[in-house]
Amino acid sequence: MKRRAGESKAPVHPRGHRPVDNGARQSASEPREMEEQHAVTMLETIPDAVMNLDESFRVLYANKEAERALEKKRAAIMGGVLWETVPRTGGGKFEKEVRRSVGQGKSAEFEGPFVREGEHYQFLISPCESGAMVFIREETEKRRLRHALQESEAWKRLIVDSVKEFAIFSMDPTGRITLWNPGAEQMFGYTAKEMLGQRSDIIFVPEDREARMPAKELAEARERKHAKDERWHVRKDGTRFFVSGAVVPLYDGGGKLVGYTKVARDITKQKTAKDQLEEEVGKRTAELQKTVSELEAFSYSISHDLRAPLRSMRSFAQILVRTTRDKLDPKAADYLDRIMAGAERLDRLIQDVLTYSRVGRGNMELEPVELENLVRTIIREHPSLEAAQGRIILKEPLHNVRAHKASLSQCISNLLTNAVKFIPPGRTPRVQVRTEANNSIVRLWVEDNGIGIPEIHRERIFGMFQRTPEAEKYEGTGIGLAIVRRAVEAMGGHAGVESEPGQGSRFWVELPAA
Amino acid sequence: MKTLCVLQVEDTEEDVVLLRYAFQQAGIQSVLRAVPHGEAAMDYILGKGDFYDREAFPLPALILLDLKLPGMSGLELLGWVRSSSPIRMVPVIVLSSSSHRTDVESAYERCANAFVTKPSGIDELTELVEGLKIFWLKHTQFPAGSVNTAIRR
Repeated sequence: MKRRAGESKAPVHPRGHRPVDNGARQSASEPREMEEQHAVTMLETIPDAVMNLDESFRVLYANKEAERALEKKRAAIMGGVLWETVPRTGGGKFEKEVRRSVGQGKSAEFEGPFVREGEHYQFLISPCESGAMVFIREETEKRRLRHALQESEAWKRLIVDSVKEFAIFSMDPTGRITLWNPGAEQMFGYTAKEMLGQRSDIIFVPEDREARMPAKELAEARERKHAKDERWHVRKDGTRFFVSGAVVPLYDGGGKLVGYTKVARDITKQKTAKDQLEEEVGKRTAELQKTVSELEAFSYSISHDLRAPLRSMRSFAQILVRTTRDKLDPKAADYLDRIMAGAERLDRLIQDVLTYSRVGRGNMELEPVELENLVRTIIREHPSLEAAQGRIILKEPLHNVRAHKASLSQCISNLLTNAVKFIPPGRTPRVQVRTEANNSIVRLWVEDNGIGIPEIHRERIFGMFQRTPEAEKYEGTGIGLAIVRRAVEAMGGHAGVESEPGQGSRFWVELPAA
Repeated sequence: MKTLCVLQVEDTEEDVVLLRYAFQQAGIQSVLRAVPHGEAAMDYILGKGDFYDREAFPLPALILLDLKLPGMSGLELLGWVRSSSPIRMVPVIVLSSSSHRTDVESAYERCANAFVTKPSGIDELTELVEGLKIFWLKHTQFPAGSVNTAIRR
């Protein structure tokens, strides 16, 4: 409440409102005057309007705050009948209450409007020998709050009533419905009249009813302050629909449960679309799985069925050579050798294709791999590297990587085999294996002094069956590097090459550091 | 060396011929009998049909089993041998062209004694058969009453 400061007019004495008699007052000593003076000062400074009216309701005294409440200067009202001089003070509750209080000699407390429109006041009328003391306290703030509350209630009502897309209903603590909005009427097919006082059970599907879902939902709301659910519900006409809903418990100011409110939305369309999508995805996945297993069966059958005749071709040719070479003319012996070589090449090709199809499939869980150990083991144990023992130098230390060990082993042996294979005649192979660590990535280099790779072929050689013209003179299936790239990429890495044709190649593989 | 019978279950005729050749190369005296599929192997073991004559078709001391067979698979036959055949304890060596992990594992799961991938050349096959001869046909002791009675008779 605002205060007016700085007005220092001599206070107007309240007359008549004293608990002591006139005689006593007239013989008042100095301290008594002081006391009166204090009382007046106090009346002037308190934030409430105070008036002293005589028996015919003429204003005998009004404090400074009263000027504000009455919107009149004190001088203008002093001595006049209040409701004659101040508009809107008479003819209503105020005048009636004041008259009754004075008439009955009983104090009265009440609330109501006063001079200023739209504002609300608390009144205290206290009769005294001269008439009455009137205390007026502005209640604007409280009033505003109440107003706001009423307004929000109205809004709530409006929202609850006008929202059709959402079913909104409330229940008392025992689960009986106390509010059922038009959205709920539309969604569930029951009118508010039908539902009020009922339990919400009938909108649940029988299975959920049996599983005591209605009660469980409320219990969950109590426990977690909020229960969200998506489930099928049933309409009055028996049709089912899918609902996304939330229940909140309602508590009064003292924390006592007063009920629940549930807001629900029909999401059958979305649900159906989602189900269809899932079904579709499931179907596609099944088709893909079928394709994959067909492919697996195919590669299995390659390994078994194609290699079997090859084995007999090769073996019988070998037996023939072994048992009859002396009797054959050199040309026939040469042909037999070519049959065997062809069979061997085809066998390697089939094995490489199989490796390629298997690599990067299945469980590719990465684990820390000690690269030095792995590379040493490969050099020691790989048959095609036997001749190059001592030509492959490890530049230690090698950083460890995260990889699928078997796949990485396959990659490194392919790279090392290539490194010692593609060497110009007469040159001694010299291979260096080293690593570079950059942040969390380790790059493994396999560097050779071989024939090198012209720039235009550097990307191509990682494809299936791709060989450079220079490489044609060397044994190979053209699959080894395709296997490397596929395996490395399946492990989340990359593979590439730098080269100086005629001088050598530097193949690299990047993998996460361990 | 004891005269034992080795039963080869193999549908590829060439592989039968090659094994016979390798047996000769290795100087194995044992009787080598071959059947082309699982059903025939069951008949052989049970002495049914064409195999009634135990003189000609003695119970095997060792079975060499291909996995991919027409009709019942090698694994199914292995299961039958281990569960309901009269020679449940007979050593069975799987001899397959597969080196698939799943094949290897399911063979051992059904109690194969060994899994060998068929060698791709005759030299390797002969080498394998020589090993077989020394380990299985020379040094290995077989459980009593399992197989040898029919042959020793």
